[in-house]
Amino acid sequence: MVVSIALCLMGVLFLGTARRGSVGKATVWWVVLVFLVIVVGFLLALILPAEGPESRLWLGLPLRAAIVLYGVGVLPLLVFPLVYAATFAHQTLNQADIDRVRGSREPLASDRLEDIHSGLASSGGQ
Amino acid sequence: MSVIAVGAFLYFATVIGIGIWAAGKTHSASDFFVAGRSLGPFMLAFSAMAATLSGFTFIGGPGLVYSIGLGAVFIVLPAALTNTMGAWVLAKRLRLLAEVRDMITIPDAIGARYDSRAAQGLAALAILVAVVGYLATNLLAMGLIIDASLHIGQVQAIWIGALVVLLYSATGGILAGVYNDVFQGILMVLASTLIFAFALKSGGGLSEISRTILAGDPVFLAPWGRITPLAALSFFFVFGIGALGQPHVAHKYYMLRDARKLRWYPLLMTVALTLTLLVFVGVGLAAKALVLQGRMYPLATPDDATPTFLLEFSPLWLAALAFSAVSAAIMSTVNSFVNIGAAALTHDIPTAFGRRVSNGLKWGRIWTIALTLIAAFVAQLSGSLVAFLGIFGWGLFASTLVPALAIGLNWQGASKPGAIASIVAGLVTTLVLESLSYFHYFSFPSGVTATAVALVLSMIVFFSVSLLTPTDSMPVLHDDIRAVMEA
Repeated sequence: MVVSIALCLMGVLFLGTARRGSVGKATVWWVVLVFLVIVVGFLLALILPAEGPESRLWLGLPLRAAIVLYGVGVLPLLVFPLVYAATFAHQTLNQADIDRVRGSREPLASDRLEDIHSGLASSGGQ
Repeated sequence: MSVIAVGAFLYFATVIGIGIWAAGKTHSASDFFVAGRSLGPFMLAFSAMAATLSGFTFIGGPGLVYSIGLGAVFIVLPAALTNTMGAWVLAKRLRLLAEVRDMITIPDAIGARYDSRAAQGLAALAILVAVVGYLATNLLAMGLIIDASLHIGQVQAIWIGALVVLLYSATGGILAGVYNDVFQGILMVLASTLIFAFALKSGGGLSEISRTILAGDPVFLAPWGRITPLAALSFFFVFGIGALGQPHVAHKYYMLRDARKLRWYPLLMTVALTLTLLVFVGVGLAAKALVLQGRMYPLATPDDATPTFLLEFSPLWLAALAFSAVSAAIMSTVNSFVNIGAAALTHDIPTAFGRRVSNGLKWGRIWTIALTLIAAFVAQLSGSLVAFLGIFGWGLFASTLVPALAIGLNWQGASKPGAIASIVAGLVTTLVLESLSYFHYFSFPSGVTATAVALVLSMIVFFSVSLLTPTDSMPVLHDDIRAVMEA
């Protein structure tokens, strides 16, 4: 179940990061790393022995709780947004992409826009 | 007048003031429903965060941690992934859609993706069903908070809360909502961080809290707490994937002024969300340790964790700030729900029947008032009915919208019949399973929830029907939709 949940999340991530059928190499490595953190973190939490009152604490928590909270919880939290920002222009969106999308606007869409603006949107001053 | 009551009045006056100011800037349905596409990344992040988190973060969540231990944390653990995942999977596609089509609602995106008014109408119906229940639950929660602070009676408190939200939602629409969201989001971050610091200090620090709990109730600090690993992992799955189907959050992606500014959205959202969620974990752990240390009486109900902690272990000014933060969390969510509900009634349902509303701004305001009043009446009825209505709100969003919206915008193999079938499957499965479970006709094995079953089923239906749809019967994607999906 641990592996299938992680696979499901990563599958959705790959689907979102894919552009014209391919995913940037840097993104792949980070996504795989986070997949491993989730799987290894949850598996360790499942197989490690239970802690007692005298057990050592890691950053204030018993080992298994620390692995889940700091490993599965905090590590991707620190990594993913930074990877997203660092790779944004190359692998997510840049001005050329936006221009390409704008260029694909169909005449139908302009008609729709006017239709909507006249009917729905432009009710100012009424 | 108590410090808490003064804080409450100041808070209400501020949100109403922001609403009146924003009303002067609301001239069209575009302003009312998508804030005139004028937001920067900071406003988007705080607005999305404030809409994401409800009163559950401050009251129910810490209570759940107090009750079942660290297993409850699996509800918020996926936040490590969901913000960035949402930016990759949804935010970019939705914001680009707004470049080529005049997107107002989330069902608009489904309608455009599948070129289907039926899919758009069904998505709007699912949103409406979920919104009414969710609204009533949140208004009841707000009534409880206001009554606890001002002692005016629950019914009056519900109506005061509803009227304050109505004042700014009906006048300034989502524009008032997002400006208020920023104010409310900052309040939530501030209050949560301070409450977390006081919670740790009261318990003697995190290590002392852990030592106390390990000595008295070691299972509480096991990674799954008192629930099974299956139940904890089920939380992780449902809240990880389900976060992609929350229309009141996704809807805000349309509002970003410049699509390239999405670059900083996950980072800003993650920082804001993480700081606000500190209260969820911190108060639950501290309350448990304080009870075990004999410094706090065992709580009558788990939901007393935050109020009891604030009244007994924090200064009065922090309790006043916390009141405003809880109200802020609830009001920002209510405003977002009212707005998407009104948009469904003003825009999506008429579109599904091939009609257009001639004055979107006027009807947006009328439906905003009507929805809030209906929800306030429902909130007064009975606690169990409201609880029942509230149960399936989140799950209904997840099971009906994740496949058709989040996956469909990224997978060209998705078909119109697949989208329609998955929305219907999610809607029917969630309503039937939650009803059977609520009326005790059926109970799920430990660790299985109606939301998880409905979400998995709707995804299976979506993929199966899409893959079985003959390729030659699938309409060719419009060039603009294809460009958005390939960008």
